[in-house]
Amino acid sequence: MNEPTPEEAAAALRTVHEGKEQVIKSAVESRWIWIVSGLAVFLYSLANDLFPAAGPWLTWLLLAFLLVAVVGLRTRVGSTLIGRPVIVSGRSLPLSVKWRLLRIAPVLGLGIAVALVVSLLQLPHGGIYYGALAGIYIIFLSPRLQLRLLRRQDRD
Amino acid sequence: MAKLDPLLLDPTRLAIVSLLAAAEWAEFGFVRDSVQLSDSALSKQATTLSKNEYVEVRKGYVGKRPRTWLNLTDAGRSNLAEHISALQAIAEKARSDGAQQPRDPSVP
Repeated sequence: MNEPTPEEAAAALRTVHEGKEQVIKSAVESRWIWIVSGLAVFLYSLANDLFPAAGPWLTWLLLAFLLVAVVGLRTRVGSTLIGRPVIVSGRSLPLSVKWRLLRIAPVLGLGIAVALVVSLLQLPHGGIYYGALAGIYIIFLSPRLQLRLLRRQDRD
Repeated sequence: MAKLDPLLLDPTRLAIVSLLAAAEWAEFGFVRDSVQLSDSALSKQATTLSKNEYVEVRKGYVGKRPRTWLNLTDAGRSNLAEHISALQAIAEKARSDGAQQPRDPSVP
């Protein structure tokens, strides 16, 4: 077996990095998933606030949506159906406790900030603000955060 | 010291395995397009990797269309990690040797 030259070794390491990067980009490529998820969360909070009597079946509807999303994101067939050719998981890119916490930190921070604003200003329909914020977070920030986390996991 | 894996010295096989390393499962078509191989060339490489238990191949249907998915096994994952460490050691050694070498005064 011929040992690679330093140049060949460096080229091989670049190949490894590029391969991982391709998968990471592909995992967050389907933007419509984030948009649909964000809208679903916002519409749920809006409907829940405006029609409180319909609360139980709205919750069932949201749970059904989440179930479909989990099947779509976690299974081979589901992933193919929603246009994601790869499944990325904790097994392929393990996430440390620090990064697990970082993933939920923005959600917690924003949630606390909205709760403070809603309670201090005594705003009505607080649930809608939460829903709007969660929707915006899912649509705009989640894909970027996911990309950064996956890159970070790859480096770790 | 980490050892180089003879199977992964082939650049095409290394590209396939690297791609699969970041994924839990990847579609055959995605791997084929990413490493720029033909169906038959990827199929051949996947068979070699599968025979050596680096890659697991699953076939199924999505609607009426047949699909194939590839997954890097735990053995494949750990062999790739060791191979990467060996490559890093080679690159690192060359870098430190280069840093230690005195500069040639005749070179401007």
